[in-house]
Amino acid sequence: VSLGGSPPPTFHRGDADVDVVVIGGGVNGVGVARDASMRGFRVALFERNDLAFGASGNSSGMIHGGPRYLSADPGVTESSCRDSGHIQRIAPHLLFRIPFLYPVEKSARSKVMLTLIDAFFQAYDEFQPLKRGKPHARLSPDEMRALEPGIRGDLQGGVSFDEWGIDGARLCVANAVDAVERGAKVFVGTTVEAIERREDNGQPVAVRWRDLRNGRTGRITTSAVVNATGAWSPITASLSGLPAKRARVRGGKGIHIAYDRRLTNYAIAAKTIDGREIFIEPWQNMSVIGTTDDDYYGDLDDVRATSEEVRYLIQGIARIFPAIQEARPMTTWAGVRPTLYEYGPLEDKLSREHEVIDHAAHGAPGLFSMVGGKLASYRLFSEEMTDLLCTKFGVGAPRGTHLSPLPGGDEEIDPFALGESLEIDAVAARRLVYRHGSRSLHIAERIRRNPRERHVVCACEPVLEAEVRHAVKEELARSIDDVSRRTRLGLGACGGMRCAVRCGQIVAEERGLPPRYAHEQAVRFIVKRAQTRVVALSPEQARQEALAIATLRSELGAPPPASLDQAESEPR
Amino acid sequence: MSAVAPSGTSDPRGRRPGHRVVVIGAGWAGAAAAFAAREAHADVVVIDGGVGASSLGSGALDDVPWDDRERAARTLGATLIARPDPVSGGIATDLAWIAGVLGPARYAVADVGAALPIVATTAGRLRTALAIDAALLDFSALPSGARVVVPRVDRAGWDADSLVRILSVDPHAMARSITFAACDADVLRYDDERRIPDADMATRHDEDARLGWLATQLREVLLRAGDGVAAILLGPWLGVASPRAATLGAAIGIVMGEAAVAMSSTAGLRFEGALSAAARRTGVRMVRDRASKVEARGARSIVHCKSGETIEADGVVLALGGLAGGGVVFDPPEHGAGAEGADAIRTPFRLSVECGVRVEARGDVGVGSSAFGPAFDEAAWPAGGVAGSLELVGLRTGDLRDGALYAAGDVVAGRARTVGEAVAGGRRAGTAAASV
Repeated sequence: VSLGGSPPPTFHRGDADVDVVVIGGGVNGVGVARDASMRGFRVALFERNDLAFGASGNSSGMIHGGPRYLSADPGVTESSCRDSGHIQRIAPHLLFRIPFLYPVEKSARSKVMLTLIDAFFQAYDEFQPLKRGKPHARLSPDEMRALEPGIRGDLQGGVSFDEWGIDGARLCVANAVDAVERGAKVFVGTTVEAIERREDNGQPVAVRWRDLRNGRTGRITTSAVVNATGAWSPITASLSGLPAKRARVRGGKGIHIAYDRRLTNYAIAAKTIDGREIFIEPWQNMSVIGTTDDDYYGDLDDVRATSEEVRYLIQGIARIFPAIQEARPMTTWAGVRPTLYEYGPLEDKLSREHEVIDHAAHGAPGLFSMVGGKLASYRLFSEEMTDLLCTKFGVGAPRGTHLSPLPGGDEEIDPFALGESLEIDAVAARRLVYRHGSRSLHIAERIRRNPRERHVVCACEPVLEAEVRHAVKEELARSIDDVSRRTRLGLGACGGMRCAVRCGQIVAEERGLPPRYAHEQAVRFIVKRAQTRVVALSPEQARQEALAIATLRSELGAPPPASLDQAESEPR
Repeated sequence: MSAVAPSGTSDPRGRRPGHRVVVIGAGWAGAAAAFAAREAHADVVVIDGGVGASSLGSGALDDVPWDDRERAARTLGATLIARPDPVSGGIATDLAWIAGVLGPARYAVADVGAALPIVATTAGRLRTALAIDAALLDFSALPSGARVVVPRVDRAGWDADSLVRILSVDPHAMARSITFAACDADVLRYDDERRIPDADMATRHDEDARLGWLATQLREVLLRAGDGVAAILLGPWLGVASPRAATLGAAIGIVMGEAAVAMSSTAGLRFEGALSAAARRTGVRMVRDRASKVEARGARSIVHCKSGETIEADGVVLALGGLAGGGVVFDPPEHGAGAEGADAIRTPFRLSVECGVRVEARGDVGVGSSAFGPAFDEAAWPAGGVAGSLELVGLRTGDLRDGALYAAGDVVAGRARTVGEAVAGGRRAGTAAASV
């Protein structure tokens, strides 16, 4: 592409520090880093916060087959289901079945509605084999209540259908670790401050970066830059001197509420007061309610659920499952979807499609932005992006991310045998194998070398000391928060009171930081986690919160008046 | 102001024979109220509803939050010594009083003008306190340059090497040139001791034979550690019935003690034990029950219990604890409201005992102007040096029935409270309730 007589962009592998800089450690960024590394590119990835910090780690934790596209565009449903099947093949340990119940309340049109819904899911059944899903079933009100005794209301009936659950943060980590093992350099906690471009043809030549925790800066040369920063996309685009609107997204905030233990065996669909579809799902060892979708105008580095959003969701679930009001919420999370920009439609009506923007059209050949998309389509989206890089670089490497297992996905491990051989609790072993698949053997090896590391650091999840060390050594974790994202440490009833300090000590040790850092980190983590809990406060948790405050005061001291941001900084 | 009476006034002249004081709650505030009323010759009944904040406390007792005290000392460049507190009127005196009542060798209280005790927390900080459980290792009593050994014990939550690293750089340790060393130790006698809770470990050391065995094991630790060891720091495992640190230390000829832990602490269990023993000794009647209601009957009160028992009282002290202790209950209108939502919009907090007294804190936790209860998005936790609403919630003493109802400790609204304040308030309330 030549613009106005300027020299054409050149994509040569080998004449810069790296071939491609990927910005963003969400699922699309790490997906591209993995795919491009597999196809022989030298890749550097920069993530401002942590892997899966944004939408990828704060989703509903499902890779669904996209039934909502079925009527308008069955092709999308087919590709969604096919890709869901691919993910299942490359990371079987991370997937778990979430059977759904879709109740239909009695109304003037409910009989017709139920027939339509039945027919709709019959059509969806055609695609289920692509993702090893089970066919739907039409259910009477009594059958619904037999399956989930907590369901209330005057029902016409309903259907069941089948989806897959996944831990989005683990999916990101697995992709990032694979990229690193294939030669990519991945920098977390490191922001890109500028994308330098050639004056003559506008092609990127380098990015300048800054490690946000210790202030170190640097510059890395490249001939292509992929902006995979989700809701941050317009901000990232503007770092290259392009107008922010060239990578515009319509940020949609979605929150989730997590409850202690699984309250139901099936996910149950429900409707909010304004008619939106929400759900309560059994997810790993808890129950999760989701979600909202609201235009977001706030700080992307600090997105939090509010008590208003929590009440709105609980109201919707309580209509069909009133026991939710007496259950104990443990935590909330919030993320901002990087939805394709469109002015006018209501948030729910926006497309969940994805798109690669080639900024050659804006005078920046070699700069690409990935906008839109959803967790379920990350692999496909990353493949499309990498295909485009191959075209630009004139590389003919074959696609392979749908065949080659992610780390841990190559071999099935029996958690009970592992637990026995390590003398650890069976539940702990199961959780370990869920998160790490065959890589749990690496953690087992650590424990064999040093039996002390089999001790449980976080009893709620549970998380072993060896796993915390593994997260720091092998999975790019640099803080308690990072470890929590990878292992769910500190998200249980005690609010991290029993594990945050211990985890901080381990992180400090593994990273060679002064021990004092552990306390600052722990206080910061505990207070931050508390902020996500108190918006959904229940009677039991209120008492637990007060105890946690008293414990913090007694053992560590109350959070100091100085800005907590100071605790973020760490020595070089 | 029914709860406030001059400290130490126990003139029994106004008392009828058999004047009865019922204390609801058996934490520090309740204990102080009960013993103060008993000293004023009242017939005292304590209704003990089970585990509260005092049973979970770390055994380090403060008059003001310790981190505030230390921050202020750092700013002023002052030395941390026990001093008469002009605001609270001598909390040190009150703590010394209750330590005396609870029995010898259970608590060590700093004398006015003396250096404050310093304890290690299992989180790895050294902190001052005004008084401490006698099982805790007091670093202020160690000579400058002392070497402290931390045994390696194969239990979760006790990583000696980690603890040594972090305590070594603590400002208090550095100011006193105290050094730490981790050392291999064989102090777990049975395999299950790698997993059992701290309290169960501590219970095993109530037994003399077992304590003797531990002394033998620790002597070997000392041999291994070489010369010049001043003290051994252990986890919270040194006795539940009573603190065994001194006995153990005497057997080995070295200072011994525990690190402090809050939440499920052994020191909390020792407090409960000390309270029961002192109650038996002084003739305070302890009832294991939960009060449900306090009703006025003329000048007297009737206390109803969950078991169905009722107790008549001339004075009642509410020492129920705050939200952490269970005296204040969070019960928002939407809790269990059903699909249609809450019928009545009510205050989201109430006392666990019905006694016609409202609960309040700052404006952000009242009914206010929301039909959906309070929002805690910002105010629940302490931040920026300001206490959080969950610590502040409680009753106002001005709302109490004059001459009949008194309150002390965390149940009183206002600010984050310390054990010292609970004891001082409880002592005043107990004395006042006994002298109506």
